[in-house]
Amino acid sequence: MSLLIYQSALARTYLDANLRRAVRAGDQSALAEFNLSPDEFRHIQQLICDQARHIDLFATTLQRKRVERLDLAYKLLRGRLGPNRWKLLCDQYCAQVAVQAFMTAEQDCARFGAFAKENLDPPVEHADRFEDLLTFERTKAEVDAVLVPRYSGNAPSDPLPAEARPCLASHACLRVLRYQPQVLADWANGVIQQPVPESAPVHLIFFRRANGAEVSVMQIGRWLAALLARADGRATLPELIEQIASLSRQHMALPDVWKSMTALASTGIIVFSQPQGEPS
Amino acid sequence: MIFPTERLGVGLGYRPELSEDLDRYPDEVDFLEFTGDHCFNPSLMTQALALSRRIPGVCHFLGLSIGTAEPLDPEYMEKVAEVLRQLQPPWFSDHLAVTRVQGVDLGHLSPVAFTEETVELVSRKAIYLQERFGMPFLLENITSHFTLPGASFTEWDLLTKIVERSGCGILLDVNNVYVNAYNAGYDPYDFLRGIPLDRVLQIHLGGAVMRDGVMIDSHGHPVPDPVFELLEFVCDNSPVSAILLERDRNMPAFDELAGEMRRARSILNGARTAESAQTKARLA
Repeated sequence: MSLLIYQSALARTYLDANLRRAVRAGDQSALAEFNLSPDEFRHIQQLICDQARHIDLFATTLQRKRVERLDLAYKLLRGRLGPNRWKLLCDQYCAQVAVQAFMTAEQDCARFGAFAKENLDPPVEHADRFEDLLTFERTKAEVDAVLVPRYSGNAPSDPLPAEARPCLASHACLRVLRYQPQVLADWANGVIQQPVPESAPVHLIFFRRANGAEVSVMQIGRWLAALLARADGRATLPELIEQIASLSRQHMALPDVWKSMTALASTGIIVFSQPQGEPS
Repeated sequence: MIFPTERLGVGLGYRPELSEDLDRYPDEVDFLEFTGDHCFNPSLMTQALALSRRIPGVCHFLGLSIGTAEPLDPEYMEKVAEVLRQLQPPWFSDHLAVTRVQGVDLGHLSPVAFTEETVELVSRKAIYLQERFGMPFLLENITSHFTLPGASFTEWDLLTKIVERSGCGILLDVNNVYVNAYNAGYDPYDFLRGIPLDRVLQIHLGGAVMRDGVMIDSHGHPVPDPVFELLEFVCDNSPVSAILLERDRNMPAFDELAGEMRRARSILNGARTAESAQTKARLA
């Protein structure tokens, strides 16, 4: 058996309690993907059986370290859920993901965010806050960076034509929060007992460029957020303004919207599509 | 590879929450160890760079997975190169361990087999690392709850063979020696006498805890006296340049850390207590 195959099979057994049980019971199909001969299988089985206590202790350490990373990455969610519910969620996650494709620690934390979103089942009255909390902590876990506004030097230098159609960048890491992170933290920590009103005036956008290197966070008003939500590259700015006019008594002038849009375009959050054949 | 002879002293692993204490007690910490993997994060790299301008720093990595029977991950290596280029430490280090295999990220250090095959593959990588980065590379001994079957020699023989074949240095974790010796039932001084102590440039010093009858390297407890005694033995017999106090959890008040650092510093500087004299007599 090559050393690499041996190490791979061992790594799988360290990480997967069900696999260890199967190997100890002599189930050769448990390690079928490694194409081990019966002798090779017995070699690994012997290790896992002879040093069962220590292998299991090591596996426990691996899981503990994994959960510690989740603890750190999802501090607010953990506080909000309480220790029992948090532990249950982590246990479910570790049990499930152990048998899936493996990933780096960062990817593991990010994937946990997706898992939690699917499995949390929060009370309806808090669903939006839980969603924002997960978005916030998951984004932080993914980028593993302090999120500060950072503008690229790619701002369009020429005025864009009125026919240009803004489109919210479709990259998977683009995320919008309805609530400010501090409000979310206060809510998660129980500092704010009452639900945060839906009409919270500030929204935040997390943005990560396709190459994963650039991260921006931008704070925008509710009115502009509503506009962005409709910016799909089909409507012009005047048309979008018309669509959201009913949301606010305060009318936003087209030049001001242009200014905001240009700033958003400079970060790559907005891209402009234009009718074919027109000069840029 | 020429090893630095300058003595760095006694230091701590850098953590952002230490920043205030580092400002308040500038004389207590002689150097900082930056976890290279954390410096992949640009904001932490900025902090590390700023600190390294006033406090000497060394770089310790977690993810080279030098014991894996596949080439070093080129993407990871690029990140390592960037960190070393920016921080320019006198040496860098990682563990004699497997942390990743064929895309499987264990997130922790798992043991290598004590075999000639391991000696060959780790030595090759250590030679490459030193040549590529033009600075000493140190291998750190880990704690392990078990030994893989088929071992041809002991852990200290393995380390010795790799160091002799590759010319790399040793980052000796004396607490790991103590923990492994306790769990496996051997004399920790056999380990120390079995390795080329003249290749020990840096030491990791930490605490341990008992869990289910097994001693665990916790990084969260005070350094026990027997570990200080091991430290003294090593300092007496090797050109140690730097001693790092490892404390990652259960962080005590800085005074407590400073006390342990002062004790380590006095050992490094050759101060001898009555207890240590007894230890030496016992070892003679």
